[in-house]
Amino acid sequence: MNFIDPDGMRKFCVTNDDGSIVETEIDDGVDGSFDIAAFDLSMLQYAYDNDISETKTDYEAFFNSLGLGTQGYYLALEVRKWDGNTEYAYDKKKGDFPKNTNKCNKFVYDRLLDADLIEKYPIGCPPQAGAYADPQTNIKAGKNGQMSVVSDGSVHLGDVIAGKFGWRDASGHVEIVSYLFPNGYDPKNATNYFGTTGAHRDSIFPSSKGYDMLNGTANVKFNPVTTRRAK
Amino acid sequence: MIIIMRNIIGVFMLLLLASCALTKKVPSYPPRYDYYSYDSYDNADFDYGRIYAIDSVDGGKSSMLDVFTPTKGDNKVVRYISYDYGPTFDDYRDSINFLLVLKLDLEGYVLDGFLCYLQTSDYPFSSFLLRTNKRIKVKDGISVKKLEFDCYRNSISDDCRDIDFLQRRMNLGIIRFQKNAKSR
Repeated sequence: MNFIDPDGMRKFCVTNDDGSIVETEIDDGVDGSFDIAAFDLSMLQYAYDNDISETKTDYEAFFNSLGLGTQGYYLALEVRKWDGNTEYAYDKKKGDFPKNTNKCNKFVYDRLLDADLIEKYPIGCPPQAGAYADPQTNIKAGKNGQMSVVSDGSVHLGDVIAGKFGWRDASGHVEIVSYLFPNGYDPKNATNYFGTTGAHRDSIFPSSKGYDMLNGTANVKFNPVTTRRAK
Repeated sequence: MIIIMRNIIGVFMLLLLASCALTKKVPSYPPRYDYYSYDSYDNADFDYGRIYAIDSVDGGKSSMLDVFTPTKGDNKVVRYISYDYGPTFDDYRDSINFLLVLKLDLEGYVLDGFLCYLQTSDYPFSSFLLRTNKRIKVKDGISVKKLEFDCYRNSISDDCRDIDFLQRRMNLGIIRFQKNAKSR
């Protein structure tokens, strides 16, 4: 799976009809450069087709609509650093979670806690995956905001996607959206391409799990599936 | 004419069968379990210290069995286990064993009881523990439902309070006495 790195989306180049280069920059406070070769040009086509002019403000708005430059964006960047980490493996103790426990909810909780997007819960009792998945559950806010339920079907970087399922040993699964457009941008299906990172039995890794939960293409039928976003 | 009628009826029956097959509901909950006697202890009691500290132990079958291993006391403690195999978290398949542990008085009436999933791995474990103090005499073939299990923890924030969850974790079934159960 070839993930496009939104970390490089801060600088955005568009060629005008006369061949001149228009360069815009997303000011999100993070240094970096954008590799146009790694970017799916269909996204530019989308920008033209939808009358997104080549001004910084409009591109900012466009990218922000994907979750760039937001708290979720930074959350996604942070989450990606954990790829391959085994600290949250089933057979390892992690903080207040003992050995032989599922820790997908612990991983999400710890990242939200680091970002101050969730209140500190009693020791050993962070929200379970099923609680994130239940839209009625109020995930308590941190100093930087709250993970509120998204109801318009959109998916942004840093969103928490949780699904409930009746496994005997777990209430469901929860991950964080860490990549957009893993297979290239499809303007007709803008929200259908994203990757999520979560704690699995052996390690943390990005996958299409969140996408599959949301779209009903996972091995089991998660219900309900809820998307939450930093607010 | 009779042949035509027979053919029409035959086709109708086939359609009916196909329709039944297509609309057959997949059960939301597992079939009833049989809980077989695992072992029993005379002059015993629950080790409440360990049960109350269930969230401080590791997960897994042996660890959970340890938590519910009785200590010395004045009653009888009987443990029953159900056996299954199926899907678990993250698309794994594993053994599925539920432990039903009952403290009985000398006449066989329930004084206290717990029901837990031995391979439980959602944490904290206490959130998924069920308890009963229903004064009922345990007999061979009795339904677990009659024990009226409820959540061990009583916080409304617990998943256990979720009706769907509670029903699923009840894992109701029938208690089966076994003559060869270990007596300790």
